[in-house]
Parts: sequence; structure tokens; C-alpha cells
Amino acid sequence: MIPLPLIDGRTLARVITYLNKHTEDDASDEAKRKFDEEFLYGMEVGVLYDAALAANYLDIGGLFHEVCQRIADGMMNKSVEWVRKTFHIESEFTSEEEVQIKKEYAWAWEGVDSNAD
Amino acid sequence: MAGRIMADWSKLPYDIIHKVATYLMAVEDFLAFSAVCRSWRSVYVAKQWHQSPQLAFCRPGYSSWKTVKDISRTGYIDVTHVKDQIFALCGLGSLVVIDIDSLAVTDINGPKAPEHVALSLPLWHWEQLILVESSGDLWMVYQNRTSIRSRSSVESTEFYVYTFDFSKKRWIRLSSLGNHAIFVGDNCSMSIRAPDRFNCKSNSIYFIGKRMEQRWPCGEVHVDLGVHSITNGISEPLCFGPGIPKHYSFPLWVTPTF
Repeated sequence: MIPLPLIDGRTLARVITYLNKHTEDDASDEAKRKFDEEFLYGMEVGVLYDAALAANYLDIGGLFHEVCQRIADGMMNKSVEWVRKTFHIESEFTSEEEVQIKKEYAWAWEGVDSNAD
Repeated sequence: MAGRIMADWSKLPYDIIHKVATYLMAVEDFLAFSAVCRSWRSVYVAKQWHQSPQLAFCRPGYSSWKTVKDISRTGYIDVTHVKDQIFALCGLGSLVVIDIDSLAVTDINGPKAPEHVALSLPLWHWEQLILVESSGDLWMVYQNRTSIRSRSSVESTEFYVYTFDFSKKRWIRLSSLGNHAIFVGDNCSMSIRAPDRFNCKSNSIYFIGKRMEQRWPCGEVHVDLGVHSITNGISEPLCFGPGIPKHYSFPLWVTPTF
């Protein structure tokens, strides 16, 4: 019995499911990719968070890459406000800093998804 | 059972934050990411310094390579020779002349590489600067290989070419390469006058690039061959038919001697 204090049971169970699939002798690359897609698809933000921390802590390269990729994919073409809202992040920038950042990259804020505010 | 603590994304360990950021290929996504909160802003601040390469020189008869002093302490981006002088571009954009015998380094004393909407040194990992000699002129080619949101999701390549004005000591953007074609690649770049001699188009840039596979499993490197037209700003792939090895071997540009 090895206690892992930083990971809750549910996340660990998910990690084990992933590892079992990826160490199956007769699973083809194709099957593994399909599994990854379904496994990560629809993962809620909170679950992704736990999975990223767990994969990093346990040093599971494949899962870590997949989860980080999934997080990044979710942010594609989204505005800063959308990311803050979805990930429940409070920006601690002062209003002057906000204005400065917006001014520097105003051009990068155009053409964003319509559901991204 | 204790209540679940709410996931605090702004408090993620830095290596996770930086890892996620490396999967954002569009420059707007990268910048938006870095504007979300202070800890995520660290990816912008930690803008990658490529392993700033150093410069060394050797001649037949030397017993070993001689290192050129890194006066700017930011490494060298590229080096070329024009009219018997060796020029090098330092990591932060200053241009230097290197004396071939003493290997003394002198700053040309001009302003840094030109300001461009996405060009600020050090370079992002999708940007590249190359020095090229062209019929006695010193040219600099800027390459930007990121995908831009407002265009399609397909990766696009932007090129800007500059010539160095030695009297004004500054870089001037070229709107046309005239009767030249530039060939850029990994470690081999050249400008060819009257490229139609070789069935190549003038006012174009032929490029050999490396594209790192970002998705898992990472590390696969693909060769990217294409030609960019300065006239219409469009890049097209260069096809050599089947059989060309696309992994682990990188073609070089060579000029025939005829």
C-alpha cells in the first residue's frame, strides 16, 4: 500500500484506466488514439485540472501531453475574458496594467469566437 | 469526507502552465493566454531564448576552432559575408562586423532589427531571422511560421526581407527582390540572381523548414518544402513526388556549377 496524498481517489482511478489502456499488449496505436479522444473528450475543467496535476506528479508523459493539449485546444480562439470565466480565474492585474496589456496586443483581440465573451 | 477545494488554475505549477502554452500555435492565442493572470503572464516574460548559438572560425592550418567573442552576451542569430567582410546578427538584433584575422568584433552602431508587429527580440520559437548576401548587398530575411486566427487554421508562413543601408546604418524593408530568388534552409541560405536560369521564379523565397510535431508523441520532425511569392504573399508547397524521405533527413540547397 503506497499512500499518495496529493491525488484523490477518483482522479487516480482515471489515471489507472488510461495506463491500463496504454499498456495493453494488443491495443493498436489507432485504438489508443481513439481511446484518448473519448477519454479526454468532455472532461470538465475541474477534472482536467486534477488530471494535469496527477500526470505531472506521477510523471506520466503521454497522459500529461494529452491533458495539456486538451486544455490548450479548449482555449483556441477564445478571448481572455472567456478563459477567466471558464477557468474561474481572477485577474490580479491593476486597471492600469490591464489597459497597458490591452493596448499592446489590441490586434490580437480581433476575430475571436462569438461565444467567447 | 472533506469538501473538494475549488481548482485554482492561476496557482498551477509553472511547468504545467508553460507546457500548455507551448501547444498554442496561434500567436493571438499565446498572447491571450499570457494576459489572463499574473502567473500565466510568466510565459510571455520567459519568452524563449533559443540556445543562443556561439560563433567559431577555422581555416586550414589552424590547430583548432577559434571562438568569436560574444560581445552582446546574447549569442549570434546568423552570420554571412558580403564583399569580403563578415557580418553577424546578435541575439538582440545588433549587427556586427568581424575581422577575419583578429576575430575582433565591432558593432555597426545602428538601430536594432526593425520593429514589426510580431518581431521583437528575442524571437518566439516560430520566428527566424536569416542573413543573406545578395549581389553585394546585405539582406535579412524574417520568417514567421505561426498560424494566424483570422486566416484559416492552416499554418501560414510570412516572410519579410530587409536590406541594410550602410550609409544610414539601418534596415530598410524591401517590397521586391527584383530579379533574385532567396533560398533559405537549415544552415544554408543564399540569394540567386536571375533564378530563371534554374527554372526558379524571381521575387520568391524557396524555403526548407522543420516542423516539430507538437502533439503527442512529440519529437517527430517533418520537412516542410515550399516557395513563397513576394508578389502575392502566397506560399505554396514544393512537391518532389513520392520517395523523398520526409523524416530525419534535411535537404540542402546547392547551386550547380554550370
